[in-house]
Amino acid sequence: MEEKDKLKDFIRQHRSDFEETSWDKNKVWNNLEDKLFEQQLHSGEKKIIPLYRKTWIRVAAAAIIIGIAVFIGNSMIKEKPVNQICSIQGVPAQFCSQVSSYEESLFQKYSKLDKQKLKQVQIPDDVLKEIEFNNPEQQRLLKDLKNNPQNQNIQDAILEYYKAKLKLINKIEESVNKKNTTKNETNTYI
Amino acid sequence: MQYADAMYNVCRRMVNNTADAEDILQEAFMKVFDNIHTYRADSTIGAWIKQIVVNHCLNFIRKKKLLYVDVELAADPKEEINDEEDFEMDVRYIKEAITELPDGYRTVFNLYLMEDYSHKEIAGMLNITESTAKTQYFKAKNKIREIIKNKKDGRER
Repeated sequence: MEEKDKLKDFIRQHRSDFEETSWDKNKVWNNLEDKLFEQQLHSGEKKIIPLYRKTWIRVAAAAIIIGIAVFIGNSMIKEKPVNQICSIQGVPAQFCSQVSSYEESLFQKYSKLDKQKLKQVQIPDDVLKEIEFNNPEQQRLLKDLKNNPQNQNIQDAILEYYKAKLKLINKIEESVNKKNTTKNETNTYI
Repeated sequence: MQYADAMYNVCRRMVNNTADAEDILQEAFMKVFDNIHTYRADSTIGAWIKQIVVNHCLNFIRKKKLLYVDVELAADPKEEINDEEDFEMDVRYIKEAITELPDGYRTVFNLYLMEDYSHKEIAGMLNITESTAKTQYFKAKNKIREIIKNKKDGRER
């Protein structure tokens, strides 16, 4: 049966003539690149969401946002922000020290983020808002912290929030870097 | 990506449409990237990628209900073998004829002749018997011959 298959033999002899190479590779790769980036970003968001599901964490986290808001706001003009949390009366010294350490790291990370590249990779606004700090909710929650400066739960939540904030900034930074790397690689392949 | 052209051609032949082929290729490569950690070196990376691409194409065809391989109507392949009378062996004619095949025939034809799967492998992919896979292939070949003959006759008139 195989020996008599002339069509099969013919196609195998002319195999390359049946292939097309002139198709829109760029379109496919650009779409693929966008989807991969989107997927990556969403997987990053999922890791952050659970932190906000508990009300007390939300309250405390928002309180810390106020402090970080000042920090980020000031970082925009390349100045180190004032640590508002440590200026609240009754905040324990150890907690203040931990907050200062986190704020320093956040300041360093945020300062290094390239704002132009953030626009290029189209990070959703709601994600970017997570690393912005000057908003009414933050102001309200800072007030809550001022009213409960020694509440251990709020202090723990604030520290957890700082960790999450750092992770988010790291993730965004990673996405920006990967976007650039993928683009470079794509250009090499095509 | 060294496999892009080859995989695009697999898709285009199977779904018979360039836009759908591009979409499927994109989805298939997403799957490749997502599952690259599951690749085991029991086949070449090219064969592994091709299997993912082919599966995506088959799913697409099934979703569109284009694939009709009637198991009950499958004849003994021996009845179909005697189809080797000469006909126009021309790349352009054959390429055109393949695009005009009914979807079920085209799928089996492409998997066997163009993608080099065995009848047994095709049977597994399409959930049909090996005998049916062979029958569909021979019917596809006959159909190709018929299409080419009709075209040639039409052009000569």
